[in-house]
Amino acid sequence: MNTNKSNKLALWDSRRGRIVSRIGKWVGGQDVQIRQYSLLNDLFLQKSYMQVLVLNATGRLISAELGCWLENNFMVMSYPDARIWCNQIGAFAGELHSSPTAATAAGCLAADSRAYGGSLTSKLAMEFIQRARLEVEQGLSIEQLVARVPLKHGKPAIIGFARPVARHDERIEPHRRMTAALGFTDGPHLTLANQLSDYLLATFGMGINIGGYTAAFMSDQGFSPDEVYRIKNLCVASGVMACYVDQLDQTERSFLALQCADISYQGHPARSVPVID
Amino acid sequence: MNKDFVYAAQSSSRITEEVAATDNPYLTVQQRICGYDLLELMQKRSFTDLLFLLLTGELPDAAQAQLLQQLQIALCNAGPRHPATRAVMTAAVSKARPEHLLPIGLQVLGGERQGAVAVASAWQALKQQLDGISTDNQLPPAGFGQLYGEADPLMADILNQLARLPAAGPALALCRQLQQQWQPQQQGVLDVGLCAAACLDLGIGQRESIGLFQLLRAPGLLAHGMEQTHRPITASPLLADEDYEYQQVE
Repeated sequence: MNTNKSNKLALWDSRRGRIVSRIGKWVGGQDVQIRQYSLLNDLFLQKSYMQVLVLNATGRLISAELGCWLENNFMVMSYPDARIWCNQIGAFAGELHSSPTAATAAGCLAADSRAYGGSLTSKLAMEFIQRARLEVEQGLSIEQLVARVPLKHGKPAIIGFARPVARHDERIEPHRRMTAALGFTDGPHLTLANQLSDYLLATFGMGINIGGYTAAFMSDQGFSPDEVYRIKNLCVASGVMACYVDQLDQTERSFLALQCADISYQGHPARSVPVID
Repeated sequence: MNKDFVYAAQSSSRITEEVAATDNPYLTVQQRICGYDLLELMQKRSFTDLLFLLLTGELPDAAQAQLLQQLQIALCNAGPRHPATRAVMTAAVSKARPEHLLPIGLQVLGGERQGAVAVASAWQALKQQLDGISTDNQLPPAGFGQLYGEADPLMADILNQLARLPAAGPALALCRQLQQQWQPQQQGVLDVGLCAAACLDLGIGQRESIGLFQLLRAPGLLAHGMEQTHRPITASPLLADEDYEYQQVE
């Protein structure tokens, strides 16, 4: 092998049989390092699970108050109601007696959706509100901001405002109270989100939803859209598990039972299979 | 219910028609796929034909079936060093439940960087070039690149073989042209680009190409995983502390 080729392959050669990491290390029988912290001496019994989850996902050791905010935010992202799409996945997994881990993973994958779920939607909503904040600071009005958004069912399709099921979001006021109780004040993103919500409510009857509120709050806390995507990827897990458990002892195929005719066939009429040419 | 509740009263499908038993509306006595009776398809057609039917709504002609079948074989085994295969093998040897192995591999394979999502990107890039929308040739298009610092020689050979088939169309021809164009920079077609080009020539859609890539890669993932389930957890390396370098960032 010539020198040029050896140089080109040097990185891969240096990683054969070797892991290089910047996030942590387990030293068997002694301790675990998580970034610059000792798991057993700095974190265990001193920080919450949510704080360590965020540390692993982002490298930031957040305050106890922000950890509490996120934990309660997770709590309302996961209802035990099998009408919700990801929870249906859990229910179907329960029907087939899939493993609980498979049910949770499948449900969380389903909620990795651009329509709902709190993980990808948080990322998309953060990208929107962070971009909007910059544009409004540069002189764009709320009306102009909304006017250029495409309409869906006659309403502006802004992620974080309105919901897949159009109802008032019951989680907003409790979140506002939590934010204040934990000592947070509205930053520039949440302020803009509130203004936008007021305008949309008055004009289109659609206000901010929990995704929009979370996106604005987390933006004010200095997180990037990708960081919040990584933090919140399992936030629907507990509702999925509840719906899984609900189906375990129910009659086979009884969850949302369907007769053949309940699926509307809209395809090609019956035809004969042609002979291969 | 709220007047804005816009959801359909029932689900629909253009793929499957299930004919119910007269005395039990839940039981299916006949299944038609895009109008074709399942039992008749079993007698007359191949699995490859059915795959094409399911994804496009029509049965393939002989040339299309040949192209899809060769693509199936070309992509069926990413090999034991591919990250998705390694994920499956690692899960298997560490005694994950066997039914999880294929889903684990498919999830890992679903990535944006040379994973299944990249097939859709390549599909889009090739389509734009074919439609004359994109003429940017400063960088290799999505679906092309390097593997370990060079063009992938195996994919180049597979491309040449597929591009000679009767059903190969403008997308595979464009790939060969791009392969020659970028060879001096040691860039070449990747597996995701190859799959995208074949999908374009077969009339398989952009979104469908993502899942088809996962499906075509599945047999090798499954086989390598199952092989490891028969081995002890110690049959795979676990690095010693000195081979794990922690670079603490303050």
